[in-house]
Amino acid sequence: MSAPSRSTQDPAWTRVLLISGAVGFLVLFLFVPLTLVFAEAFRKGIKVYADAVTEANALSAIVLTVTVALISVPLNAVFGIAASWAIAKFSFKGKSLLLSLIDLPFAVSPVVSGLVWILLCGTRGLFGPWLQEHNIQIVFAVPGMVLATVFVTFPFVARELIPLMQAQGNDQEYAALSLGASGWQTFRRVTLPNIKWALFYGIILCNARAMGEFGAVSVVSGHIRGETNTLPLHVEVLYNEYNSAAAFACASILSLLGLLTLGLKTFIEWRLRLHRQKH
Amino acid sequence: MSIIVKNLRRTFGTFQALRGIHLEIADTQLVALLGPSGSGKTTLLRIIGGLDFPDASHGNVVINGEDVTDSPAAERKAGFVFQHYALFNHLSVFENVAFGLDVRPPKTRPSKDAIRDRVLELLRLVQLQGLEQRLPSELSGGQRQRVALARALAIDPKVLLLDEPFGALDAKVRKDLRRWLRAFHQEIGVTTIFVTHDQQEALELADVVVVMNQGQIEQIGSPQQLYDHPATPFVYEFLGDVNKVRKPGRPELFYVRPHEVSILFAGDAKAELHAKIEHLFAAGPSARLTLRIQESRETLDADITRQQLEEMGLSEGDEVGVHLNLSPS
Repeated sequence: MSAPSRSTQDPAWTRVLLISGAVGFLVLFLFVPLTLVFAEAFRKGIKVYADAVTEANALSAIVLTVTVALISVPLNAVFGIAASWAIAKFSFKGKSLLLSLIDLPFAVSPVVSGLVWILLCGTRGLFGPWLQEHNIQIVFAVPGMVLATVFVTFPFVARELIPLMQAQGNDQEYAALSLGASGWQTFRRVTLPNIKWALFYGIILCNARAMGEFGAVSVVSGHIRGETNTLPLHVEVLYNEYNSAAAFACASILSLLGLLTLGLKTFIEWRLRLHRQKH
Repeated sequence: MSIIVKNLRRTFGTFQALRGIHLEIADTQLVALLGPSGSGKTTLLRIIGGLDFPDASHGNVVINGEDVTDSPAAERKAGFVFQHYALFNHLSVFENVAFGLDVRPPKTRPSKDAIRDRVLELLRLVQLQGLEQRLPSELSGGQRQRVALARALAIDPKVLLLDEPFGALDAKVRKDLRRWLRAFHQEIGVTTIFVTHDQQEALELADVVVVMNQGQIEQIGSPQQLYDHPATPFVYEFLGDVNKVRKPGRPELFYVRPHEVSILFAGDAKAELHAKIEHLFAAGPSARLTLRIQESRETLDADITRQQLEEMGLSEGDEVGVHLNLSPS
């Protein structure tokens, strides 16, 4: 590292103030709460912790959380690739409208995202009677939770890919086509390797949100214990029952998931930077 | 293989990129599409290669007698080299060149060994042997250019299409590659079209130059024909330096190249115009004079030999007589 030049160097007290301010803020709002989660989780000992996370309802919540993520993340990866492909590689009418629509889930409150599905598929909803007739349960069941999660996490993959694909342009795809490759071969051998790391990054963020989503899922879940409670919902139920040790134990699992995501994200960012430097 | 383009139109929104292009290219020719940016030359090249398509029912592309207007790029067997090479960054030089063979359906795909032999042969041809394991990012601009060429040749193209092949290279490499491409084309004998905005490059390299302007063809001809007998003022101005002058008592504009201007002593009876030397530049085999014509106050560039310069003892500020050797056109 080269020493900063004098012209860009602020006086010592400014630097101390800024750095200690930033670090203090981080400690107060990130580090302390996170540590507290783990401290609370283990306060009554390993035994209580282990019981809390292996109890039937907790296990079912973990399974449901993973299931919802396993369905919605691949769906959104495919949707995301398709949407960013369309936006980056073609010009068509309504392109900017599509771009804003992709951001819609970021803009509206998750509660609204959940309510939408009740309005559509609830017993008094638009498709409610038809669904009831055919004995299909969407709201207050797993399908509704998947739908709500898909809606909320839709932008993550697309948002990562669109700027990258726009920057890369179409020349490599055209080159592949002129060399006789089919559309699928072009996608698999040329486009996909070029967007690989950005795609992983988007998927990681998408997954983090899918597993952590509370608002939208809460509205459509119906809170049926052992059936439609995901991990975040389970934590809330436990907490409301003053079972704070169990609540924090389950919360610690969510936090661990978050930390794992963060680790993966850092790794992928590092790979992404390496990838860009090379080209 | 021969290429025929008939009555081709291409519109982007309200912009007419090509307005009625008609072009016939004979087998094994090396053809330059020359024009300023926005003249439609790259669009024409992409349409020939199947990377773009003409407006519905406005034009045909015929390659070797077969109408390919609606065929996708993959079916045309046109080797396309992109302005910025468009190499596959994640693949090695070898894999880049092998790509066109690798993606063939199993029935027509050569064996692994056959692909290997072909790729190595092509890399020898473009003088890149030994670099097959490198990534494109580890090559120089000129080397990338040749990888792109080898990759395009791997599919045994019927025609080779090069978009600004030397555009992104520095002057020295450009010159070397230009000479190399000329020899290379003679060796492989594939009909080749390249796009350029550099008139020097087009004249030096091509058998036939197609001058384009605003979506239309201004003139087609050999470099010499174009230089000596430009069909339109645009071609005149675009190919080489040219002066626009009026003769006393005549309304029309004359186009005259600097080497077609004779410099005489001021009192010479043959002088049509009289001028003053405003600037004199004599580095190189000839001397360039910038003259101010006394009759019309217009400027005029003239090239004379260094020998004449010395014999006449000319220097800046001198008055001279001028005679225009207009070629009959």
